[in-house]
Amino acid sequence: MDIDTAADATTNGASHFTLDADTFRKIHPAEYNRRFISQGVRADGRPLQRFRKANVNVGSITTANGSSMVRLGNTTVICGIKAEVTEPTPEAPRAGFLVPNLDLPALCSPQFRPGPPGELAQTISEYINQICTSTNLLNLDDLCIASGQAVWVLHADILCLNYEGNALDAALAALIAALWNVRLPKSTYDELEGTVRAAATNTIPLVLNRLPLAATFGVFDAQHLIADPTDQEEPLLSSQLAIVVDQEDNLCGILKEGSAMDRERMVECIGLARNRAQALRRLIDEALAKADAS
Amino acid sequence: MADRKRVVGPEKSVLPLVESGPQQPFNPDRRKDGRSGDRIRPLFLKTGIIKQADGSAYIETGRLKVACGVYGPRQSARNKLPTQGTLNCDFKFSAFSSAKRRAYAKDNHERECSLIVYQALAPAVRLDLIPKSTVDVYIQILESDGNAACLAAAITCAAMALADAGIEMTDAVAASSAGYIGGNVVLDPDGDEETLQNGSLMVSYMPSLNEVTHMMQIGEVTTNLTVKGMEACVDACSQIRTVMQQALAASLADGNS
Amino acid sequence: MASLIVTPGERIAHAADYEASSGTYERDEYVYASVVGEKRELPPPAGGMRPLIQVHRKKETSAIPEIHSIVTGKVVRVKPREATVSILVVGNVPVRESFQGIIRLQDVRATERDKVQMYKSFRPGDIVRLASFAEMEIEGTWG
Repeated sequence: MDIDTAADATTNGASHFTLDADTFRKIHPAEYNRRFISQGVRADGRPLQRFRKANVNVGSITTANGSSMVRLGNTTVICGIKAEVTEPTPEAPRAGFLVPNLDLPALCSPQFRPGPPGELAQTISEYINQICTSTNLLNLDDLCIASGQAVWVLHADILCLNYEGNALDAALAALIAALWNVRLPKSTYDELEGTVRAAATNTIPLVLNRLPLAATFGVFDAQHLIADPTDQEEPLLSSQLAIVVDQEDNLCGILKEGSAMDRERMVECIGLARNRAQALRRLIDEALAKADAS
Repeated sequence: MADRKRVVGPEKSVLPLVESGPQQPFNPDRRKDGRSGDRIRPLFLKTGIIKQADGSAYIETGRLKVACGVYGPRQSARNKLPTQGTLNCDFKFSAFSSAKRRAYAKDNHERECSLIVYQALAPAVRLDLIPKSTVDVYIQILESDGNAACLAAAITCAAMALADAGIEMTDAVAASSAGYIGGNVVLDPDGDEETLQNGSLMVSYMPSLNEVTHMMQIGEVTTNLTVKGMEACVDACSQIRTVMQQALAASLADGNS
Repeated sequence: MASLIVTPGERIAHAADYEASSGTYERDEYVYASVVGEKRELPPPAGGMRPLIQVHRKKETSAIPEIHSIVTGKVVRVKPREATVSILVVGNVPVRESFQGIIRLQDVRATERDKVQMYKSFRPGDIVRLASFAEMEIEGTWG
């Protein structure tokens, strides 16, 4: 149904229907975005393949062993890592645990409801967990306090405060920045009591084997490739592609959903993802240096 | 019960025993951050931090950090009272916000806090103007430092977010807390000071109407001390109110530019 | 300019001098602000003695459909006797979150109401413009 004829048809009678941009966006989001994207620009003013401005901060949560806040445009996530003591499994007596979870609470967008995590949060949490394991992000043996008795478990809870789309890129960047910011206390295992004693100050940093970071793309109308989609664009995309690369430009993972995508386009995305990951890594570096200096 | 919707770690984990240094003796006139007993921690307030919400606010005081988002008035899922709107308050600690990691499932303490926030705010919100609608107030504690102070900050933050959302209110509620430590009233105690106190008080107050909307006192204290504590809290609320007014006016100035 | 900005609970006038209008309320001989915004005076309404005082919100709250508002929405479900509409725009203001409305069979047309067939009038996905005439009930003007 054509919206312009709708506007004409309703001008009979008392009410005059003026179709301004906001109303048009609300009624016909796909057409609204199509008119922008076919002109090579997006509704928020970005060129098709430009990522939103990113911003990284670390160490502001003092109750956590490591923390970070990452902003991509208006998407804001906070990651806090808490280290607690637990028993290792019999199969891996020296291995600690890293447990990442993304929370998309009702606070961060009207599209989420209170209650258990929805599909999006589940998918992203699971994917981030896979990346952590498959890239051997941490040597889990470094988290050992006493073999077979006590190890550290790192609870990495990633909370979205403001959801404007593309939670994966923000969440993974926040996790990496927060892990880098983690300081564990010196600790000893008391065999007699079966307890762990820790120093009052947190001093020991973690060793990260890799720094995987994600860049997400979407395909609009099966032909236009857009980078870093917003929450307005996400429901309109025919397919989405997330590419994870590490600091040596190695591919760590590709997550693709939706309809088919040709090979050249995938290669193009990988190139763009490398640049984005590099830029994010630089921002994280700067934030960590700033936190160390203060 | 295993949580199938989250990445799960080991079933049980504990905090290590921390060797603490010698405790400084408590001095009500010169506390460890240099405050005297009748002073609150400096307050930072900002509105509009959550762009997706109809109204939002952030409050930081000492280590305490609270964010609040307000959605509404929106269609009620269930109409309880067709002539009146519904106010729904949700108080949640972030997993990393306390010394011990918090679980995702809401515990009793969070339920109680949600109810207290509702009781403190409901008298001020003009629900009769928004029939059949719901206003959802989501409070997220990012870092907690002192239980009563945290709850008070949550109420102040929620009132700011409601004002930012343009919800009509008879007054902007401000809340403050005090602890009773050895016969002294100590305003805005932090987490360490809370371990020393033998009672606490939290007051939610409408400064310009001069009405208390909620008051909670825990512990055994003399009536005289309670009255003293209440006066101190009410004074603190009036101070907080000044900061709230400035932050709300500033948010309008930002919107103009 | 700055002095004109008021916040909820601020006492802005004597009730004897002004009549409370939008964004304000009257209590114990005073008029108070109930929203954040700019204080404004308006001339007295026809037949009124006192000038009006209002607080004008800079930031509009989400539009809410009221009785007699003209709304635009998308048909989401069609049943034999009614169609459910997700309301997207009230007047000319888009809502932040959609409200639900119902078009009843008897309200689709002013005449020959018995000949209206819901399935022939509406399909899911249609954009419709309606006048709401009772609380949460809506009259169709164009389908």
